[in-house]
Amino acid sequence: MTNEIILSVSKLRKWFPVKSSKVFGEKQYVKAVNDITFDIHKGETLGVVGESGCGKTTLGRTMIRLIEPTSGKIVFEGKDLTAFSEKEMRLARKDLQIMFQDPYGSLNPRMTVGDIITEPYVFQKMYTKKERIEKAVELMKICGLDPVYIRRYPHEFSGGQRQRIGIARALALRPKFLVCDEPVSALDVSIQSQIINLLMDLQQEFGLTYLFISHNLSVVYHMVDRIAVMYLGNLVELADKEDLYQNTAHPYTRALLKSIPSLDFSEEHKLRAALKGDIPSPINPPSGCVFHTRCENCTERCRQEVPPLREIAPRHFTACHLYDGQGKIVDA
Amino acid sequence: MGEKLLEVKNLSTYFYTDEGVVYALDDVSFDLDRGEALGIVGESGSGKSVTALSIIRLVQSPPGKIVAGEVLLDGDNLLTKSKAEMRHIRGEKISMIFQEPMTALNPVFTVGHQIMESILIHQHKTKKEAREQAIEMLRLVGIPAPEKRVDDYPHQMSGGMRQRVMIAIALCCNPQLLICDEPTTALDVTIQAQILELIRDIRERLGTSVILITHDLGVVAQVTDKVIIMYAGKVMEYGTVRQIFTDPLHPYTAALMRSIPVIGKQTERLNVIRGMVPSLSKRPDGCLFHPRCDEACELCRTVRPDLINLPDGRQVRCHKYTDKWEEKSHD
Repeated sequence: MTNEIILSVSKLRKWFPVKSSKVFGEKQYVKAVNDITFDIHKGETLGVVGESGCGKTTLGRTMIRLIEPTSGKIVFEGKDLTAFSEKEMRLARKDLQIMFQDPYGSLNPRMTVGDIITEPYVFQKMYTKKERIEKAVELMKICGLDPVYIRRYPHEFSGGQRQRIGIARALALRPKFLVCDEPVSALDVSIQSQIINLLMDLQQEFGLTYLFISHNLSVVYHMVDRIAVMYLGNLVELADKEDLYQNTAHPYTRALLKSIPSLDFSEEHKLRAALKGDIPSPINPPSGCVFHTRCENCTERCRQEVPPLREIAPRHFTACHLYDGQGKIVDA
Repeated sequence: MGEKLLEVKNLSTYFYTDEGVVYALDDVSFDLDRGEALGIVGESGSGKSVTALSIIRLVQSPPGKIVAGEVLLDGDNLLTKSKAEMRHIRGEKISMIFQEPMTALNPVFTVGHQIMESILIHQHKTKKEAREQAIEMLRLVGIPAPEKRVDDYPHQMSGGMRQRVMIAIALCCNPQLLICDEPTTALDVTIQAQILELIRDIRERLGTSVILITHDLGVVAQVTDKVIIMYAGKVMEYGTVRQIFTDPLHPYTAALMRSIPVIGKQTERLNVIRGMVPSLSKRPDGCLFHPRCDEACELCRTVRPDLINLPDGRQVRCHKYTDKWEEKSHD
């Protein structure tokens, strides 16, 4: 990991409009990604965690412009991706790839494995047909698939093997930055560790930078260098992994960590529900701090004023009024 | 505690498909005491859900068939019951909640209606009494403002709330046994913690026995007393949570524990169980786990191991714990 920034987003926002029942009613939005600012360093793995509907998948997709951002900037290697035309973006995608959660839905059932892996070359008009097949064979070997299966179809593979196909496809263009959107959550425990190890090996070999999206905090702990915690479209905490687990700042992160059923079965580690109630709707998120409806430290100020993201310790950012006056504000 | 509620003896359920016989459940035996909570852990296709469905006789037939064994509830064999008798047992004595709180509820009826349905079938109550009980049940499972929410439709509720409604339906006839099939898999961690706390709380308050089926070892460690580890339709290991988590005997259990990342324990690489879960229609010879086992020897490749009873009440299906293994290692 170096200190060189490979990708940075500033005030990234993606609001999805919702059909309003009233013609002249106020326009409503799902605020999936709400003014998020952070940097990713070259060669690091940044984990994004949060519950369903917190916007982590939208963030991953917006960062590589698979979804157009509503506003904000995405700077990749010094170039602003939001200013790119379609054509320029297509070329830039060589460096920015994604692998998906669902190993069943993300592969075209009517294409062979070879066609799936070489499709990126077709779009980028790279190599001759023969070279493409050679490349596919090589990629299959790298990802632990037997190249004799190159003419087979996705349904002939197990979930873990399909996820390997997805990884091979994502690596075909030798990207620099890879978004892994819940890559192991559909897999069994014993298969999950195979894929995690593969992703970590590939990162070493090709010097990849990962954005690793997952709701499984144990997997994230194992995989990543830094963790970003999201709640209702907002970034609530961002810190180095050990720092986040040991000096947890935001009440939501604390509750999230407490909710993991641990293998420790002793009485004092017995799981207690750390949070009451459900996640509010992202259409009408609570005013002020979005977490205030479930927060045990909630004050009057939290209900009204949105807490800014502050650096409360070196490289440790959080958006919470509890840390008012500490550190400098990052996204005023 | 100590009084047996459920005894499963040599239960085998096979599915007869075009591709051959699928041995989904093969010679499974276990006991459950009154008020006890048992976890059944396994990967997909290990037969953990089929175990539950076989107990309440909901295995789809054809292609499935319970080919052998006994399921004794209070000494009464459920497998010899008629369909009508089973209908009374389900809901009244044994209840089950499923993984998908989104699809397990009927979208066109209010949740109150669905709770009342079960009460009206099994108990002699008027509609008014049933409605009152439904509200009471919703309060029991921790739904706020139950007098209002009783008239909600499932789509008006979140996933966690729907799972609470499912639990309310399952509990309304005060069953002796509650089977939870992956009750929290579709839920977020903070909601999962709420539901697990509820299940534990209900067990303590009502004395209901619980069978909890899950793939998550952490969930089992938090909720149950005893654990069964299943693999390819067979029980691989059985013991208390403490025994299995501190000292796993079976190589599969041990490997499974090592392959889970643990927060606070930094490791370079995760342990990997190589290969895949075997196909249940073309099972390997010998021990079903031997193709993936690091300690497998000739014996494991040829002879199918029995479930061995150990002195401390544990059971394990592995040649390592027999005399034959001793002879082997001395050769």
